[in-house]
Amino acid sequence: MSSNSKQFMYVCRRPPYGTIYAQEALDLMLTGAAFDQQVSVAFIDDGVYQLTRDQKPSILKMKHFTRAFAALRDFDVEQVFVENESLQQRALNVDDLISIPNEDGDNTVQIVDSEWLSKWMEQRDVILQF
Amino acid sequence: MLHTVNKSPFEKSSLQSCLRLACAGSDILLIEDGVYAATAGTTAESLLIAAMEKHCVYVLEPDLQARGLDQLALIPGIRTVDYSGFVSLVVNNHAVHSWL
Repeated sequence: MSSNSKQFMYVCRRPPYGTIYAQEALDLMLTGAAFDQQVSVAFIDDGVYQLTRDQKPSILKMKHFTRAFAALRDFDVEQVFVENESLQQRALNVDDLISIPNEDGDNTVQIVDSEWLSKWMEQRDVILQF
Repeated sequence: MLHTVNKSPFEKSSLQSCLRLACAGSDILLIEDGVYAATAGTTAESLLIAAMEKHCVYVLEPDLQARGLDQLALIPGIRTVDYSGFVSLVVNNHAVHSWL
């Protein structure tokens, strides 16, 4: 990886189907990762709803785009964070979320607290929020 | 890090989430509808007063003026900046996080 590559971070804080934000963010993440940027992703606030299991958007005749989160691992995006406080506010826990296994079968989705996440964010070069 | 917030705290949780996740010492700038958080006496005031213990909080003056808020009292300690002040905040920080 070239020394001038920047550390990008995408912060997702909207739910998946009511607006186009979540889908646009995913498209951008995959694009950025394909250009050899160092990409990490955080799901906070209503963004955590993007990762819920058993979504059936076909009922609304909408595309199940959140399935494509599994493709993040194919672009070496292995830093996927979910803020624990946002999960707790919404009565969710890790078992309610999809897992994104890496090549070794380990789940790349990490539950982290606000304090840890704020320090991680502080060290990024570019932050884009959706 | 400079955090900008452009939503009213009475409509969206952007400001609350920003303040939960901003590191101590980082700058907060209220712009567009975010400036409604800067006026004194609202239910958001305690949030801002607590934030000022960890952050410098700025508000964009033209956005206050446009909304007729420049005649209202602001929360003491919040600093107003003009567009060139906004630019200075951007160049003096290594990155900008826009809370939308």
